[in-house]
Amino acid sequence: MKNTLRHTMFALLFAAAACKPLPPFHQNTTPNDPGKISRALKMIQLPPAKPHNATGKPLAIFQQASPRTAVAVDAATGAVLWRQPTPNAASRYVITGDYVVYLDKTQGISALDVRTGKPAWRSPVPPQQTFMGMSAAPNGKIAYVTNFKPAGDPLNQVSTVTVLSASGQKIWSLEANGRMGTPLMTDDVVIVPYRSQHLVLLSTSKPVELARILIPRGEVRYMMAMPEGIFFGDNRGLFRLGENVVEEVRNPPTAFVSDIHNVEYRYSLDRYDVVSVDYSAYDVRSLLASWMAGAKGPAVRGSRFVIHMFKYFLGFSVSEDRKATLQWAVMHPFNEDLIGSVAVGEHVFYAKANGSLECLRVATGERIWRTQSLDAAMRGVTFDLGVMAPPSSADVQSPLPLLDALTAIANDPDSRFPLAKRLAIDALAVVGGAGVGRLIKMLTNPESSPELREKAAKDLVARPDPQGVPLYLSLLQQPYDYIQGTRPQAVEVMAEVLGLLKTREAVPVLLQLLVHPQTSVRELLAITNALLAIGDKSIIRPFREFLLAYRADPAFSQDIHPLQKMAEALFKMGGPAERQVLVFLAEDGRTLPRLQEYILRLFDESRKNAAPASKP
Amino acid sequence: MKSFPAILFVSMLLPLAAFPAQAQQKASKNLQSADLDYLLYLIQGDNAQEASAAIAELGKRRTPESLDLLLTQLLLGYPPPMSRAMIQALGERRDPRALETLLFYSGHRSVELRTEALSALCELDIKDPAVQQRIDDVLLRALRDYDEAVRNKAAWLLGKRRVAKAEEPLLKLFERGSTAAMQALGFVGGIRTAKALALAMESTKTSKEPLITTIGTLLSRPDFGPEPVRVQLVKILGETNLPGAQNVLMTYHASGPDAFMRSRKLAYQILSK
Repeated sequence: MKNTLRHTMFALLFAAAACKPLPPFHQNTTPNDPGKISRALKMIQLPPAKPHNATGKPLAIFQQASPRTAVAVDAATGAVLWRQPTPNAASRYVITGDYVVYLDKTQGISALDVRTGKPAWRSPVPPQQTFMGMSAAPNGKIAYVTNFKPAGDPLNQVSTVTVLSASGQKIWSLEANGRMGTPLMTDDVVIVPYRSQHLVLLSTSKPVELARILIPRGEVRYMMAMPEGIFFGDNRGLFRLGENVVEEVRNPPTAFVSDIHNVEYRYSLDRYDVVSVDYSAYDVRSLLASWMAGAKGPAVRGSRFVIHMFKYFLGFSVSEDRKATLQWAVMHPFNEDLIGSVAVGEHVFYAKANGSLECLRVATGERIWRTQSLDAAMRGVTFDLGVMAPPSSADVQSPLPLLDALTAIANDPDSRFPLAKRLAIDALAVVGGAGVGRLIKMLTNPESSPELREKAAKDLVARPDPQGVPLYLSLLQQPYDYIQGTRPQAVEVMAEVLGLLKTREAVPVLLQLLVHPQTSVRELLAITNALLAIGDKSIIRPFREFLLAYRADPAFSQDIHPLQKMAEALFKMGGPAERQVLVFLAEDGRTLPRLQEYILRLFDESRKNAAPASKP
Repeated sequence: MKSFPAILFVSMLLPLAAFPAQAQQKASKNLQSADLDYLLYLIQGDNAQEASAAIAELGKRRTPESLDLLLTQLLLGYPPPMSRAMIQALGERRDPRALETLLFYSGHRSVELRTEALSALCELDIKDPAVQQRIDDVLLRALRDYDEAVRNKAAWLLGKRRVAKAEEPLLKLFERGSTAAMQALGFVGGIRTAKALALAMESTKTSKEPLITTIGTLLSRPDFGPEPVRVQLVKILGETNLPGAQNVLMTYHASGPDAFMRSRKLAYQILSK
């Protein structure tokens, strides 16, 4: 009996132990509990539509490159409010409440007074850990994540999320096996991306896991807290964090489709990428939009967004089926590098490396406002603008017409951004309306980049326009003249286009070029092909004379194709006289061997084809 | 007496050494008497030397059949060295019937053949001004060729033919540093050329000797003038402290055109100082 009682007690104790809830941030916590998610979401306070800093003014905190200094600028006027050297700053500045917070390489998390720039408090970061980034809530609380890989082993890495109070006091800290990304902080809930596919919601006041969401497909690389909601996702698109998030993440995320290739961007900073900890060129490669809740998931305000690529902006409109159409493009000159940008309502604010701020209208691409340069080299900027509207200004600059702007981007002599150039070239093809004149201008402009020329050539060939024939011919009719510096232009492309159009009036022009000594062998081949495609009988005599004149010329021994094509044309279109010429070429010992072989093969194939036909 | 065998041996070798020359002479004699079929056989054969000799022989002959043979072979197309020899042969014959063939070859892709055809065209014995004009036009076109050798040859030939229309393009080539154009300008240039040469004499970048020679050529022409322009050129030469300039002045003073005594006297005065 005693034994039975003992066994029962043991079983009850074991059961009780087994039912004990897992500690917060345990890797085995079951995700997607609808009740917990709902309760946690109710605790989230979305950021207000005003600046988060205690002054209430829109601010931009620049980081000067050398010496590394925090420069606070009144975003409404461009006036410098304060400067504070931060020589060991190793992260971007985070603005919240009374402080501007950053990671100091030697001191840990450090705060500057947002009003004066004076150092306020410090909080040490555990040594030997990799700082993954930090986030601040509007109420001033701060959360940061560090990562530790024992002996650099990525499989056994341990991440730690720490929450600090507005005054820098540690509230709690939690460790977990596996990798955490930079958290997203709200007043009462901190959302930590975990192991790429989890979102862990924790209370900011105590180490309690409120809910966990599993994203079965894709990853959680981007997270944004906006007055309209919290949005997250990866390069495939974004989801909005809501009551039905568990069901929604099983569907494809909200993304835009465009016919333009080479459009590469980020929705925001990558929370798993250590590069995002500090300012970098990634700050100027993003999709800028004011996100809001739409009927079918996240949507962009005004159905418009802007892609910021380095020093170029491209404005898109979005249709109901989420198809993005390029509307405008803006390029900045060579000496005007951009360091950061942000979408605020219907505007995009951006900062230049010289410390000035500018504003574009998302709908039109007009630059409607700008501040003076600070005459210093800045390496990054953090904005806290709220819903700032740009002050009215007479200094409005309209963008170039779209095709001109794209051409300018494609031809930008600044060779640092080939990706943007390829995008512009693709866009030129997609935007359409680039008529023959423009394509020819791109093709013949000596300043055109090789990629642009290639693209223009492809477009001309892909869509040969019969109305462009006079233009095509005018290019070919330019004389070879050393003194005037003229020569026929884009011969290969024009010949191909005229061949496709079967333009008979081009035959005399093409024949003139055929016999011209300065026509290159590649051009000769294109001309021969074009003349063959047009199929005019008047080509027989020039082809015959050409073949005879150059049949023994070693200059053609490397590239015999034009001669072979001409022989083929004589064979197909010529009469007995041409056959005699071909026989002579095939038999004469001085004819180039490859030409001889080709002609003999023509005769052989002709005989073979004729033989079955002659059989009864 | 001891050296007798050696002398005997050398005297035996001498006829052998002379044999190739004799053989060549014999072949040459044979070609002179060879019929056209045999020459054609040699041209079409594999021996390049014999083919060249046969082509040269065709160039010396004066019969219409031999010319026809040359023209036909040229139009049948040969490797550039052989075509070049044939064009040279046509040039030697100076027969106007070669005009069309040479015009065709003046647009050949081979630079050598183009230049050779231009030279041969200018050799043709043609009196018809319209045909002469046609050749001039070909030369003027060749002056705009993208190949320098062709431009130089055309400039030289235009200068030689004294084609006044060539002055303007030659001046443009001269501005681009063409020495051939400058030399040709000496034969065809007028006041504009004189001005361009005077300016070039002031430039430190231009080599002075060819300029002086060109000015000398200008001064030696009786059709070049008027006198004040000559006086200016003589003064420029006088200010140039180069032996070439003195030679030009001496030649001009001694044998310049009689119609321009003032500038010739000036040349003498400069030399006397």
